[in-house]
Amino acid sequence: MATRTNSDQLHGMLDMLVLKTLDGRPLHGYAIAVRLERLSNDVLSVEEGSLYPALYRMESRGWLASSWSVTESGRRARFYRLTKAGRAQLAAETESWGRLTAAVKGVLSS
Amino acid sequence: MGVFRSIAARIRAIARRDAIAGEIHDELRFHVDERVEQYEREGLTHDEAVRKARERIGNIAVHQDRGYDVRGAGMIETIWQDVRYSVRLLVRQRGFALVAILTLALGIGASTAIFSVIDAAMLHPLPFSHPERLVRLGIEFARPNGQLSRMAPSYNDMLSWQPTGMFSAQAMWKGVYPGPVVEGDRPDRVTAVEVTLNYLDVFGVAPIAGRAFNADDMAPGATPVILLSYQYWQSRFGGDRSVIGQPLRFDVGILPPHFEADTAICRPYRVAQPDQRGSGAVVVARLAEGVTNEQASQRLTAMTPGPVGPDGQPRKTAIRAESMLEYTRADYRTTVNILAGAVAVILLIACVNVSGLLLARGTTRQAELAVRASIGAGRGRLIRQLLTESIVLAIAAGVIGVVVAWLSLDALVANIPIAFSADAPATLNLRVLGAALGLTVMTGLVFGLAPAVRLSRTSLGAALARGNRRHGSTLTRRGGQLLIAAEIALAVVLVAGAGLMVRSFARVMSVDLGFAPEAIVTLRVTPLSDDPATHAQYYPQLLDTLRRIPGVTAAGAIDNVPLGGSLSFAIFVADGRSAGLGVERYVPGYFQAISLPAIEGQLPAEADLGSGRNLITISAAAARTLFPDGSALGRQLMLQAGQAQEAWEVAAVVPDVRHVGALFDTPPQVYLPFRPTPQMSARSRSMIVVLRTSHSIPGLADTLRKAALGVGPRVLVEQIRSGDELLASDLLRPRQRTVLFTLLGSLGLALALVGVFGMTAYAVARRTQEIGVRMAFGARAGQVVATMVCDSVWPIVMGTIVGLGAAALATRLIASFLFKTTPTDPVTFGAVAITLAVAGCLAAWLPARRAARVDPVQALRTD
Repeated sequence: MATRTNSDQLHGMLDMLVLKTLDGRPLHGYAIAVRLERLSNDVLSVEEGSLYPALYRMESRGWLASSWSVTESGRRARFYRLTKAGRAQLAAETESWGRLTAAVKGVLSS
Repeated sequence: MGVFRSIAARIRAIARRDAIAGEIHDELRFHVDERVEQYEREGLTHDEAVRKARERIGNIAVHQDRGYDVRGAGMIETIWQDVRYSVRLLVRQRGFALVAILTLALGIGASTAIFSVIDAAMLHPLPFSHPERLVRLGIEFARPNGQLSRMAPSYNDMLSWQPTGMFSAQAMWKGVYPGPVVEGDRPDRVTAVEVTLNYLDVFGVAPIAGRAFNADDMAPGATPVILLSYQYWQSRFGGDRSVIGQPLRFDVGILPPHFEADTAICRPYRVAQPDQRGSGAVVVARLAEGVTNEQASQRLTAMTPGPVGPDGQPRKTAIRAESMLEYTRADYRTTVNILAGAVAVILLIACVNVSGLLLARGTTRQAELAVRASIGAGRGRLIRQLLTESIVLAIAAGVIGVVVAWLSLDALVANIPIAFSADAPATLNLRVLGAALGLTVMTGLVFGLAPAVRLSRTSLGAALARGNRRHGSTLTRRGGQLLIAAEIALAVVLVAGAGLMVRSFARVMSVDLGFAPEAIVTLRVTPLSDDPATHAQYYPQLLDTLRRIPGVTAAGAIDNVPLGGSLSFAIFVADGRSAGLGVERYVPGYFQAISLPAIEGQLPAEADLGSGRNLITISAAAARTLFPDGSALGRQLMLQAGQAQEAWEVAAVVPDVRHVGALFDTPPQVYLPFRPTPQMSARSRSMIVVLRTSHSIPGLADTLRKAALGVGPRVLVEQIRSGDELLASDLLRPRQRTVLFTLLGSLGLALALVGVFGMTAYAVARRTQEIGVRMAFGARAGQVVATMVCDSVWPIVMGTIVGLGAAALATRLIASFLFKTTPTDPVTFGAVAITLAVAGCLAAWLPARRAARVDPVQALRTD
């Protein structure tokens, strides 16, 4: 099938971006979505349909931990933060992404 | 987090399902609210903002589900769903479920029962701590002819090994034959062993009451003491603890259950000749921690002098520390391996059966699976569902199977040709139940995997387009035939084994014993006296009394029980020819009792023997061996007794009888009159009384006991047996093997036939339309049925041929159990082939008849 996509790769990229936004401080789901959009200059408009499953999936893998907390505006929201395993995963993905982009760049500029 | 805690968390999560869904709802709700605020800030109206935000987040219920899958009970709940679904499905398809579950239950039941036998005989035959450290010590030396010979070490050998540190305990053990007589209202002979000081330490057991032997007990002349086995304590004293030191006066302790359970009492072994090797005592030891058999053997070999040969030189010697586990298992290995193989074949047939049924049923499942796939179930998910179904099926079968095993275990053990030690009886213990569970799950995977993989490869469009039509077969014609052939081949192997056993047993039963055991009764009667004269006078008096019992037509006595498996030997010389002959000692009346007439000469009467003449009666074979040149009557035979010779004159020749047992060719044999001497062992002064009765006499046992006790001296009466009982116990093992193999063979055959039936029935159902077309074009019912049967006949024939080939290889394993029957006996193999072919075709024909009832119009309309 020509249109076949590698869903693992897509998952992997979203995971990496989410992990990256959480690097430094805990955020709730909406904040993650907004931040991803802003950081990527709205190029990456995150499908909320895939953001939450990704959060749950990463939480069950132990990369994220979550807890209910109160936002600046005083509302209750679920905050996600990076665990040690999550940080390691981020490092690993960043590195492999770096290799991949360098390789692609190399191909394109040749 | 441990696996178990995580599973526990998930199980708790099932209860928290609503809570989790609620949390996810709240979380997404917050998200939507924030998004709405953002859109409002960007200038949208509230309603527009809400609509757009909701659109963007999608279906909240779906998120809840997905979130629940990873955060909640997810997996466990879907498994639970699958299980409930499978159960509903099986309940709906009762016929299929019943056949599948019963087939498997028989397979699992047989396997579980056999496994409990394997567990007892092979895995845990010695129920003691660290049984792998238990060894028997033996001296192995080379005979001048190069043959290796073994004998038991002496007591001093054992003592000399003590300082090596190879063993944490050593002891000598010796059976007491005949067992001692326990006096009482009714004297009773018991089984006994004699053991040295550390015997209990070797096995790591301690008396449950009283004490073990101490060094004082071992000293010659010390107060006699005994240990009672748990079983004897229970049966004779009803488990009363106050017996210690009381009724038998000597008991010091009671042994734990499952230790020396085949014995009644243990006595101290007070070694009289500490230097004697090969005394009949066995040296047992427990290896010290970290010491291997080889290390112990090497160490002991290096320090132990070998026995001295005739040339005055010590022979090359090795001390062998033989693992007791191995020693115990060696006897069982062949039988257990065969059993395991047979039962594995049965289980395999059951699995093939159910696999076939599942595939055949798959036709009806395919549409459903296609629908499931179309609404998003991945292939893995479908396989999981299908495997869950198989395992549910297997577990239902496993439960019934364990019940089957539990019900049949006693009957099975009674027919297992293994002499189980009472220390390790076959039971359905936790290990066996665990194995049954493992076997059940494994079975579920084995028979379920192929159908699951096959069925899940559903091509969506094709399956849906076909709808419920029946040609969407997942089991091709070729596949079904292959399964039939496999089942038949497996069954042929089992049935061939059974057939050989039956044929061999028929040959055993038709052996001419030379006498008719049916009309005789035997009993062992022993005067409790050390005076040989008492014995000499007692038996003739007893026989006179017995002959007066109405219905008793003859009475005599002999020293070895007929068909009892034992025979004494002695060297005789005649005309310069010497020969080892079987020797029986008898009291006149014996030949009349077993109805053995003299072929030549005259059977000596009591008066003839009393006159002091040495008159001997010899068997026809003995006459041929010693006097090939003419009549044996009146000739002289010299009995070699140590250095001395005793002259005997042949008075009569009698026909050969198989005295030792039906399966043993009795050697040339002579009969000497019973003349007890002080030198004779207690055993050989005890005689077996043999009676011939004209009809079965009610209450004969009591009459005999009373008569024996009434004659005079105190006597012990034991082992009252009919000739039929003697024959039955002589043929116990062959009979057990025959029953067992017949059982396994029948089970295998039945399961395979169910398989053929099911597979053909399915083929008929699958080809209903084709049959309809044929009939529409004028085929007659008979032709159609023949076509269907033919489809199954080929695989049956092929399966039979392959099965016979496999059987020819497999039956070699049972060659040693066959009596005058080769493991590839052509008659048996022919009969097996015909049986399987005919039964198989019948099993195919029954469902094939349905093809004749196909209504062409109806069949074609289903299109």
